[in-house]
Amino acid sequence: MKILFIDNFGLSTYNLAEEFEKNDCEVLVYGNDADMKVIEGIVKKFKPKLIVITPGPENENDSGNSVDVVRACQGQIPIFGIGLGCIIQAFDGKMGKSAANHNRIVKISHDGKTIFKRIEGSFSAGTYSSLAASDVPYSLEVSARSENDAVMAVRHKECFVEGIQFDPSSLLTASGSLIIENVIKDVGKK
Amino acid sequence: MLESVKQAKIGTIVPVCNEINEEINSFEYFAKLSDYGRKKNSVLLEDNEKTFGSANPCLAVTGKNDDFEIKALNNLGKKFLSFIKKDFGFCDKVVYHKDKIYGKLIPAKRAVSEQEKLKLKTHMDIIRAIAFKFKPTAKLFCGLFGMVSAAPDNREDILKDPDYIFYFLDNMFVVDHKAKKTYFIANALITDNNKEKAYNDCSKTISNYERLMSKKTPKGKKPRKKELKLIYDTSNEEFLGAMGSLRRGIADGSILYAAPSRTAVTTCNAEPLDVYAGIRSHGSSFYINDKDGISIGAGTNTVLNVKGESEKTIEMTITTSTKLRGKVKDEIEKNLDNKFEALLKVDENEIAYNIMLLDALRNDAARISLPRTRYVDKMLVVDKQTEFQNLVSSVKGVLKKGLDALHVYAAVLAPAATNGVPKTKAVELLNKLEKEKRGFSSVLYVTPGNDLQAISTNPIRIKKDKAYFSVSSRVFHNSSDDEELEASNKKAAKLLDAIRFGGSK
Repeated sequence: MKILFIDNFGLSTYNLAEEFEKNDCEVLVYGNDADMKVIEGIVKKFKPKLIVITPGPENENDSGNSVDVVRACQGQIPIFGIGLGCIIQAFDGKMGKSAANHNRIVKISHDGKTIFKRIEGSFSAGTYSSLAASDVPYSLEVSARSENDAVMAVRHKECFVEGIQFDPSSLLTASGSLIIENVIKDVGKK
Repeated sequence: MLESVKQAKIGTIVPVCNEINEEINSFEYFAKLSDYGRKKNSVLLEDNEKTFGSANPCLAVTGKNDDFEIKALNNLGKKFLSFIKKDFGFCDKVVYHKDKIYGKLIPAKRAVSEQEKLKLKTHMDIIRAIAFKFKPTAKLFCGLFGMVSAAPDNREDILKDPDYIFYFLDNMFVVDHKAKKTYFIANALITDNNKEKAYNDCSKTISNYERLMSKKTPKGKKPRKKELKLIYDTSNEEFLGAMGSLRRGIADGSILYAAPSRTAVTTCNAEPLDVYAGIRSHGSSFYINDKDGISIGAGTNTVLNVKGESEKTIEMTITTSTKLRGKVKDEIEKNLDNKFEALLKVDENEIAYNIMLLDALRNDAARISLPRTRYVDKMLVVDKQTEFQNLVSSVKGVLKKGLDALHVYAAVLAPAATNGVPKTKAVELLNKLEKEKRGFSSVLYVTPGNDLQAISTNPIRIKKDKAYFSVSSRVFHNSSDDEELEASNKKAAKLLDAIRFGGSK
């Protein structure tokens, strides 16, 4: 499966790429500083089955082309966003400060659907985020929350757009590989 | 050995070596070899396993902005230059003279994938053209050894050093501390069919090394007594302000961690080798006397190794928290030592910090490793040294096909531990906050066989009668800026002590 990564220059782009590559995916990584015309050309030529937006600085000004990529490709190509910022912003929601999530292990409860299939009960995950979704737009549904009720994952109601607010490739997320496998399986069904 | 040299093809490098069943005192031997560290172009790298030193390299390679220069330091260097003179066609401008090649290389900037960016044209290609030119006929000690500055930026440049400086070490002494052996090595660079002369030149070099063993160790000059003053480019208050600014960057989601740094300057009339003796540690330490000054470093926090035959193994190590060894009257007192170790292991903030850096290190390794080969080899292991015990983690992987050791170095050029996380954003913020350019930030040794050893470090730089060093601090979630500043000032005081140890008072 061909996957296009939009690199937000965080600490886990290649940890995530490795998770996909070990499931026989071909990963092409382009920076969030690439012009949208370049990204459009790559999408036409590479024909990715999935776009992964990697985590990075959560400040809106640092997300580069990420929000534009989500807006341009949603409904046409499945999108998996790690770090909710660009997903929430792409659908006109808002992010707010959340020191509770920063650099710690969070216990996550989820709805058991799509990317959370085969994960029984709640699970622990590592998060390096300072922000949390403060206003989830109508087009998205919350699919996971932390023990302090922070939004930890969202899903688009109509098309394949999934976003999570923890790092599935972190040493602190034991269920991370299973989540990636679920993403690959779900995209394969499309 | 003569036969191996005679049979060698042009373009190969053949080790000529004398092995001694004795672990010589590497510091004293280097003092003899380098006239107590005063000889220009002399280098020393020490670690727990091996030490090597040289004072007569054949080439010096330097670069500043887009310009570069490869200079022959002796006749072998001239032959080397003649042999590689046609290899720099990829540069934007290149001029060849008998004793130097110089020119210009503007790093390529193209809209390509992040994987392809590693292979875009940079000054690392100049290093590559020299380091890997000669094919080794056997495992050997030889290669380019030097220092590289942090990424170019617009800050003040008080030191005005090159962006990088390397020496091609065709000859050296090596002390194997584990096998308790010493080697005097001169490698024959086969540039033409006059192989017997190449061998004879190597034999002469080895004889010179051997003769030096029986010579007396020179003594350092006693320094003039002078008051030692430490002047920072940034006051404590300003530095705390910068840390506060970075903390706001953490709160607004821009960064997770940053390591701000400030530059300290002090007078120094001590012998630089005496200063080195003061900071020389049982980890990695180095001494480099180049044409512009002397660099001295030790006690590093990120180490990178690439080694192996056809399959190259990458190993990256980070050292984070440090506590003293438990000592009473200079002897280890086991019970007290256990207590310090326990404190190291239960500090939640330090553990979270180490795991965050370890995730960043895994990310760097994943970029350049074959899928399924990257793994954490050591996690939160307490490494006990003579004076300190540290929390250490490491990652290993197998190098991807099509990449070499210098691609590995380029991929981890700005380690998270010394800059911040995420690296790009942290470096951007630090460039705005720090006044002076950081100077040399890593030391590396790359061999013709594509092995590499690199250390991330902020060395003491001695120029004329002044010593410069940058002292960093840490800002991360739940860290205390006041406590981190105090720790940073203690680090500076230790370096100042080393300069005092060298005699400046």
